[in-house]
Amino acid sequence: MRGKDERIRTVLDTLRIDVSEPLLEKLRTLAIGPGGLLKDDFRREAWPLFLGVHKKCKRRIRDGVLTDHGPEAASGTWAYQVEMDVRRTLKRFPPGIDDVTRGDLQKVLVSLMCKLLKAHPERHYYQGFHDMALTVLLVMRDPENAYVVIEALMLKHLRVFMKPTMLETASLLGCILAVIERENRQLYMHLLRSNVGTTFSLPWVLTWFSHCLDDYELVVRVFDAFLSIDVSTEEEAVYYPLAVSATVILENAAKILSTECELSSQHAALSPLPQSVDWDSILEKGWRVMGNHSFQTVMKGAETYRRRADMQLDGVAWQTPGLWEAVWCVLPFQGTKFHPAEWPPIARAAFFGERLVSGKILDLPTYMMITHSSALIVSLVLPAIVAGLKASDCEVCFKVIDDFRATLSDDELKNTKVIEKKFVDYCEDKKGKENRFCYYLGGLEESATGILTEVSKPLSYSLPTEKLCEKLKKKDAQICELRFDKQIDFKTVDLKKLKVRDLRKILNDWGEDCDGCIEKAEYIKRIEALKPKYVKEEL
Amino acid sequence: MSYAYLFKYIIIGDTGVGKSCLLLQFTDKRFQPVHDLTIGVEFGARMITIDGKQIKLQIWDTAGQEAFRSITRSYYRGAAGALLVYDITRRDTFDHLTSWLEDARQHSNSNMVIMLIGNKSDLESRREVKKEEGEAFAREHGLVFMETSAKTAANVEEAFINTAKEIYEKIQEGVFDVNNEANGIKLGPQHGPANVHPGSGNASMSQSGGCC
Repeated sequence: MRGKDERIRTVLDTLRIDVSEPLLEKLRTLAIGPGGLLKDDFRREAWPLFLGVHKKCKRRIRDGVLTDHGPEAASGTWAYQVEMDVRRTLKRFPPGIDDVTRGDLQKVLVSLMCKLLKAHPERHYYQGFHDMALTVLLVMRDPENAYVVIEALMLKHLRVFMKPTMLETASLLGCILAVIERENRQLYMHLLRSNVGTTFSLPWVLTWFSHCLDDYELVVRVFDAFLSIDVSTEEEAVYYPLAVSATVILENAAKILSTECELSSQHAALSPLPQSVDWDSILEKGWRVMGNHSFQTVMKGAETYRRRADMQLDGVAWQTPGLWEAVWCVLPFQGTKFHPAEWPPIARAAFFGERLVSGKILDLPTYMMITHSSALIVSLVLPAIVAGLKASDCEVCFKVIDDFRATLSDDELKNTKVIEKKFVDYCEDKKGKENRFCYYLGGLEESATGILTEVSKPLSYSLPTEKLCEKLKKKDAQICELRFDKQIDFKTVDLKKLKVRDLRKILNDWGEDCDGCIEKAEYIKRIEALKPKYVKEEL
Repeated sequence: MSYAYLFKYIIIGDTGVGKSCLLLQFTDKRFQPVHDLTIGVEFGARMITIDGKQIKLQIWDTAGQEAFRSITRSYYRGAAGALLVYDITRRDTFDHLTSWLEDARQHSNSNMVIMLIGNKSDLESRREVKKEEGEAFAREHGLVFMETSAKTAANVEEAFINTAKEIYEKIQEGVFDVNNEANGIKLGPQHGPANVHPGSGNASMSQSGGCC
């Protein structure tokens, strides 16, 4: 870590003279990387820089002295509540702190928060905000500088949490499940069926885990990463803690899956997870998760999750996957959003309809409408739509199936078992979206489920690619939602103009890393060196 | 440990009235003078005996701050009993009872047994709400009433166990459908339907699922 210490110091020294975007980017990378920013001395300077408020922090930012003036008396709408909550917060203070110092610190914290809340009356105090404010105060030490940093957080990162109710926050938490759905479907189903909901993650997200971690060093290390995110859009600032929460759960998938699929057992298993994970690795993986799934798709997934969870709670016992599928299909049918790929199960939904009505999910008129119209829809409309499946509608499937088919000999094409084995081999070194495609089909070791026969059989009787992908789309609509990332044109691109995070993404997509790389130049060198291997020159 | 029934409870009331401390006193028999606040929900469990039958209480402790109500509300449903708590040293926590009660009635099943608790009875010198007021409120709204102290443990056992007794009586009278888990009652493994696997539930003496 000594090397990193030096690097951070050098970057900060330069930034003090001139704030340049590439250097700031370097600092962001350091903050997410192992150990974060290492020292509070560094954090005091780096945090305001990340938030773009460094110019507002003037007082003794470098050495930071805990207040030398008596705090103002607490006042305002929230004063009583804030005071009560801060008084109850003991374990968050550094161990070994004496009662007098802690008492002073508590007073400073209360007046600081009251001042902030008075200055922003449209922001509502929530329990957990005090955990955030305390962490910042402990790092910044100077209350005025802490004020500046917390204020910036209130205006962006915590804005949603500071509304009069937590309704919007609750729907945001659905993003955690939506990420899990995209990474590990089996785990998602398990969590959904257990009715555990998302409340367990509320203290994680509202306090950036500070309410749940006992170790001060760990808390500020997590803050380093969350603060480092470039907040030119508010979305990313909100998304990172959610992606990290999902990662915490994904990393413990085996444990969760082996825990009884029941609300209280799941709640008890999930709640303490943050205390026992490798945070360096979690923060790094969470960052990559953000790159893999856009916030927009995850928000859509959260909405779907909420509907499914509501239905689940309404007491329909899900015994068969068929019924699940049927209901998922009927659900959007009631509303406006309805994907054609989900139509075939309507027939099945009609079959199960009676049970749905008895489960009070559907009222009778809706049920009648579905049963009477589904046959018509399936027989008339659906074929017309599906026949139009073009390569651009399902690009990853088209590419993989065409590529894979070309690797098989005529003899191999006769035996479905051989095809399946070959497909698993084929998938082994696939990256990015092709890897995802393999995962959905069950071609990877870590795949939750497999529908490999849906590929091997049609291939054995030479079904055209568009028909094959069409069939797969019916099995799993996600397959056609896969899109290749826009390819960077290496002939014209100026790597020096890309951000470090984009450079890391390029290496990540190639399945390469850049051990110990910090300087942008180092990343570029690495990419240039690897380019011949991954970038096919079109001559 | 096997049980004949599992009852689900929920504890509600303003922030700082001592909900988490009541739960801790009941499940662990200890008191924490400074208890960190609850964000979201936490739960604890304990076995009790009624009428010679083992009953497992699973108690969900909720965040009291107004802002969290939209989230904690979903825990009302599927609860067989509720402890509605106020602080006898803070009049405002008593004044808010009506709104809590409305919320509970609206989001729970109609048979839920509600126990009104005036907590912090050890702080007599700072009392702001008379015991008679609590009694009157309970009578008016058809609740059972008790004053407790999570600090001295006075009446804490009674509060939880009397609620369980009421639920148990309702089961005997056939008011509760024990086969519908939405009522907050579950039959133990030996009585349960075929899909409950014996041994899969690890019912320990006390179990908890807090965040931190």
